[in-house]
Order: sequence, then C-alpha cells, then structure tokens
Amino acid sequence: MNKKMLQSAVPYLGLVIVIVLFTILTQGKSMDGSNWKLIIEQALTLLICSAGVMFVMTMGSLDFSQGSIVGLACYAAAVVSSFSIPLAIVAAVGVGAGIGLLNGVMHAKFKIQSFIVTMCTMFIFRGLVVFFTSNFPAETPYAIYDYDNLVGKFIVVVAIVAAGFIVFRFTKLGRQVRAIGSGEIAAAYSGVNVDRTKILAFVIAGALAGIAAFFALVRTGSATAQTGNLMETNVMIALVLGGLSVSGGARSNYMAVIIGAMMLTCLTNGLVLIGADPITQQLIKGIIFLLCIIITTDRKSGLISK
Amino acid sequence: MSKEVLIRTQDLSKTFGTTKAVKQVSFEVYKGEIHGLIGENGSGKSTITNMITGIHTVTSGEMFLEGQKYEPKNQLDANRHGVSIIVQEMNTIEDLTVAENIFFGNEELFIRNGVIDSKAMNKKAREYLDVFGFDKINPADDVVHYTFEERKMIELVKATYFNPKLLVVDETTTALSHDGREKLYELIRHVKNRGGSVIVISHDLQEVLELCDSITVLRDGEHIKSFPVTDEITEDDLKKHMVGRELSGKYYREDTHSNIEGEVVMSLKDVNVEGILSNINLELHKGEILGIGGLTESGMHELGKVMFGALENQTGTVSLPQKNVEIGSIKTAIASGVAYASKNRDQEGLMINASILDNVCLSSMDKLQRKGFISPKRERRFTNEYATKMNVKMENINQFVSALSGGNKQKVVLAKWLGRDSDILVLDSPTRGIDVMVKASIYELMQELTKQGKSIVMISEEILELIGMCDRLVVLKDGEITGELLREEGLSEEKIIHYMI
Repeated sequence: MNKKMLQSAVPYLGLVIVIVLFTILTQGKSMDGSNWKLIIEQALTLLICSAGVMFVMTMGSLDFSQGSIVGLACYAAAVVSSFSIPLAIVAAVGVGAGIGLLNGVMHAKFKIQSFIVTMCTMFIFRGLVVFFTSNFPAETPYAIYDYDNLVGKFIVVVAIVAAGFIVFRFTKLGRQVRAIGSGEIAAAYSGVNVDRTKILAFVIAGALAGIAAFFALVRTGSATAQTGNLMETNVMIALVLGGLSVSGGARSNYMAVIIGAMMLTCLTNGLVLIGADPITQQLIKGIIFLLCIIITTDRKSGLISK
Repeated sequence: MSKEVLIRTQDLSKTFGTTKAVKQVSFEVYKGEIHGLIGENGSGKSTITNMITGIHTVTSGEMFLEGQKYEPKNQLDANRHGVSIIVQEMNTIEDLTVAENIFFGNEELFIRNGVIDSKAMNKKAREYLDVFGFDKINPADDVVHYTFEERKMIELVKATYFNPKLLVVDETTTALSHDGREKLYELIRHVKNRGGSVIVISHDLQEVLELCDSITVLRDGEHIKSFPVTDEITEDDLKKHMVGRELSGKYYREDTHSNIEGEVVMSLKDVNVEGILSNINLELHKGEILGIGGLTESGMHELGKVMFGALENQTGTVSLPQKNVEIGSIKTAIASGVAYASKNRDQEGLMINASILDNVCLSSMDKLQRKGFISPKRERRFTNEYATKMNVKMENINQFVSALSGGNKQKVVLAKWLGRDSDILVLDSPTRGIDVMVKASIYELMQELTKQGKSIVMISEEILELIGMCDRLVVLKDGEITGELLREEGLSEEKIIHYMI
C-alpha cells in the first residue's frame, strides 16, 4: 500500500522539483507574476489536448495526429472566421471531431494499430495544412483578437478539464476506456462495446484538439504551416510525465492531465528562461520522456503497449 | 532403491507485496520419483515450483540441486540446469512455428554459418515429436494452427526433449482430454524411467495417488507433510491434510431427480458454425442444469460462446422465448440476463491487470449509474456485497486480480455475474484448475441458483462432474449432438464416453 501511494506521489513530487529547480536556477525569476501568467497561457492548449488524449491513452492507444488536427482545424477556423467567428469555433471542432472519427473507425473497425493509423493521418493532414496555407492563405478579421482573453480562456479550459475529469471518473465511458486498456477481450466479454468506445474516445480527442486550434488562432491571428506542430509529442510527454503509463489500463489517473501539462510547461518555460537553445530543450525533453516511460512501464504484467 | 536427493529447498519463502505466498518451506524430491504437490488454491504450490524453475525470484531461503547451491536466474537458466516446467496456461508463442517453439532459447544448436538452419531444426523436432507419437503435428507449421491441446503436447516436447533431471507439471491435466492425459502420463513415466524426477501439481487427487511415488501437502504457504504413497492412503486422507479438518461427504448433488419440467428459457435452432458446429437444436429449461460434454475439439466450448452471442460467424438462432429476445451479440446476451464464465479465464473472463472492483462492476454499469453518473461508493458497496457472498479470499477489493489464485479468480468471475442477477449462466469448465474446497462451493452455488429458478449450462471435460451435477447431459462429437442422457441412478462414465468417441 505504501509503495503504491509513493508511486502515485511521484508525478506531484516531479512538478514540485521542476518548479523549485528552476526557481533556483533563474534566481527567482521563474516565480515572477508575469512569468506565471505566461506559463498558464502556454499550458492552456496543452491542457485541452491532454484532456482528450487521456481517454485514448488509457485504452492503450496513441494519437499522433493531434498536431495535424490542430493545424487543419486552425486553418478551417481561420477561413470561416471571415464570415462568422462563432461559426469558426464550430468549424474547428467539426474538423477535429471528423479526423478523430476517421482515426477511430480505421483503428476499431479496420483493426489497424492506433499508432499506425494516427501516424498516417498526421502526415496526410499536415500535408494538407502546408498545401492550403501556402496556396490559399486565410485572412482573419481583427475582431478575432477580442477572443484572446486570458481569463475567459482560462475558464473555458478549467471547464473542459473538469468535465473530462467527471466523465473519466464518474461515468460508464470512463470505466469502459479503462477496461479496454486493462484487457480488451475481457472487456468485450463483459458487454463493453469496444469498437464504439474506441471511436468515441478518438472523436473526443479530435474535437478537443479542434478547440485547442481555435485558441491557437485567437492567440496568433493566423493559421500557418507550423500551427500545432509537435503538439502530439508534447501531449504524450505531458501525460507520461503526469504518471500515465503508455499501455494505459486500470491504474490510469486523470490527474495526469493537470500535473503533466503543468510540469511540461514549467520545464519548457524554465529551459527558455535559463537560455537553453531549442535543440538542447528537445534533447532534455527526450531524455526525460524516456526516463518517465522506463519508470511508468508496467514490466511485471508483461504487457507491451499497442 | 537407494534414495538420492535431487532437489532440496531450505526455508524457501516468497512474498508478493504484503502477501506471504510461501512460508519457509523445506522439502526434498528424490531422484527417479514422481512427487505430487497438493494443497488448496493459494496454498503456494505454483509459487514454489515457479521458484524452482526460475520463473519467480526467491525472497528468502535456499535451493540445492544435487547437493549444489541452485539459484536459477530465469527459466532458460533453469533449463540449462536440467529443470523444466509445463504450466497451466498456454505457453507457446503464436507467431513461431512448432519447431521454433520447441527450441526457443536454444536456437544455437542449429546455427550454420550464422543463420538458423530451419530444415535441420524441423528434422530434429520431427524426431522428438515421433518419439511420443504426435505424428499429426508438423514442425514447420505455425503453432497458431493448432488447438489448445495440441499446443500443450508441443510444450511437453519442448520441456522434455533435453532429458531434464526435473520436470514440473503444473496443473496441466485438467485442461486436457482423456487422450491428452494418457500422453502426459506416458511422458511423465518416460522421464522417470530415464532416471529423472517429476513434480506433479494437481487437484485431481485420484490422479495424484495413482501417479505419484510420494506426496507433499501444503496449506496457506506452509509445508504440512511429506510422505511416500502407499495403498492405505485414500483421497479423503489427502483432503484432510489439505484442509486441516474433516470434510463432510457432500460434494456433488445428492438427488437423482432429473428436473427438466420448467418452461423453456433458451432455445437454439439449427445453429451452424462452419467447420465447428452443425445443426444444433437444443432447449434449456428453467431451473435446469444442462451439461454439455465431449472432447475438447467437439465444439462444446464454441457452443457456449454461441449461447452468449460471442461468435460472429454462426447461422441459425439462439432465442430466449420468455423474453422474446434473439441473441446476436454479447451486449444483448448480457442485457437479457445471460452470463458466461469462459474456459479461458485470464483472457476472456477477467481483466487480470485491474482490480476486483473493476472486474465485478464492469458488466453492471447500467445498474450502478444514476442519471448517467456512477457513484464510487455504490460501486464499492456492490463489489463488497458480491465478493463477500462468493467468499473471495482477498486483501481488499482494490487488489489486482492477477494476484489471486485460480479459484479466487473464478469466484470473482462468478461475483460479477451474480451481481448482474443473470437468469441463465453458461459456465465453461467452471472448476478447471480449481481445488477441492472451491470446487465444492461452486457446486453448492450451482444448486442454490437453480433453486432460485436460474438455469445453468455446464460445459465440462470432467465427465464425473457432469454426471454429478446435471439434470440432463448432451454429448457433442465433431460439432454434432450424438447423445442426450437424463439424470438417473447409476449413469456411468462409459455410457457417456461411448457418445464422445
């Protein structure tokens, strides 16, 4: 019991260590009010995407297409925003959910491993983003910046994460994604509609990436070929930092979304503050990611991630 | 016969988390003997042999093989010391060929110029397979093409081709048909005749008495007694040692009345599954225990799946006349009160890497939710209620199922379906790999359930338990019903076997 408690406390300790470490390294600069505002701003899109991918990874699946979804949904929202900004939100969520549906159906119905499916959709939709943004750049109205309100965005994100938490912890869907991650065949034999649950989880992840795309749009006012780039990796690193096992399953805890996103954002922010160049940042993140996977992988059960 | 000790354990202990699975066990196995290891579920039999064969590490204590200190690092290392094991569950690798499975870890025997010479490997495998008369098994085939039983035979060859000094057979016979068992016995005696020793773990006490030269009894991880087998020792003596007190005689049903007067609750019409089942017409009555017997490959296990809507390629109908429901999927089956306990408990029956709570609640989500939300408190109460009812031996309901013994796992499966309040229970090999005490409690539960008006389909390879428990017994052979027998005084094994083969 004590060992289990200790294990679940590791991510929290990690977050504290990251914060304390960078406070020392930056001589307190990282604890500055304005820096905290920046950290929260930077964490928002990551939190939204993680809230969705949490469902996917708990099933033992992966979603590599998150970044491309953000890219394409952002472009779609940019195009639509010249007619109506509220409709742009609908467009972003619609594109995200649509790609999620495609991922889910390919994975569940055609029985292709999720990382292969989403790797393919990642390339396909990133290709489309590059094509559209370079051939038909979208113009957004100035009014779009009215939506770039930190307090408003913060409330939306809190609402999304809280809703995700409730669905994960207190509904059938949450139980079912965990069951699939614990043992897909046994879940099916217990009456879980495995295909439907899988598709639903990917649609949720896609739709939330759509919301993240709208956030990205109101922040920069434009959709570029680079929008959302590497979001998928950041989301996965965040969740694993937050204590989620890459093979998902019964031990998955929703707090991984919050702890993970905060830890990764603080880490990135801190590295920038101490003047690490982007290549060093990636190197450090890669090493930490690997270490986390080594720690969180459940070797005893002999399960290999799908 | 001079008795030379082959392996000796000294205060051997194993702890999993806070559970002490094995407590300071010291016993010895002599050269050239067949040694039975018996005890209830969770008594530590498998844990001890798993330490001997390098599958588990030793927490404390020592082992000596032929007088030398013996510390196997893993299963391959144990093999190199001449110690091998045949485990209860499936242990072949699906994507490899038969020959590759047999020589797994010893491929260097066949390396020519840096590559594996498959021809030589297949040839050698052929030789070993022929020794035991497994002429139907082709070394070049992927094992995936073979049935559970045939794969077990492949494992037998794998575990013995190198003439082991010590072979452990862990609860293998219950999963095998008559023929398979005979092959296994032959092989065990073969190892003995060549001067090797065999440790047999079995719940079939009759089998243990017939096969073994000496027996060690374990209870709750402790060593109770070791003794040579003599003619005076009876099954009851063994049971007494295992349980630690006298057992009452009651085991199977005591009445001889065949109760099939109830209305039809499930009806199968012209059920066909290509290559597996043909023209099955069958009715299940309220309050009945319907037995389905046959050889492993008779299609009886698939028939259980058909009743649960778990097979997709069937024709014909499975319906519940009273409810006017046709079963086409697992979901409808569960929703209309059909439960299924799989023979393949660890894959289909349970999520091994999840808690008792997760497993017990999963099928009853609709009952546990109010307005779309599930209350963890209600879940805990629900799990506690049914786990207690089933008498699951556990630390608490958050314990992972993987840490439970076979009998306790089965109790969790049953707790799940009792919680669902299912009317029809399809139980495939419900007592497979389960000890006497739990077996008795499962038989008792079955009778209690039928008294409450529930109906049970009991699929089993154990003819004795079918005779002992069923109101009516249907025998399958090659996918067809070949015989139907009613419960009566003096129903004999021979009569049933006659329909099976």
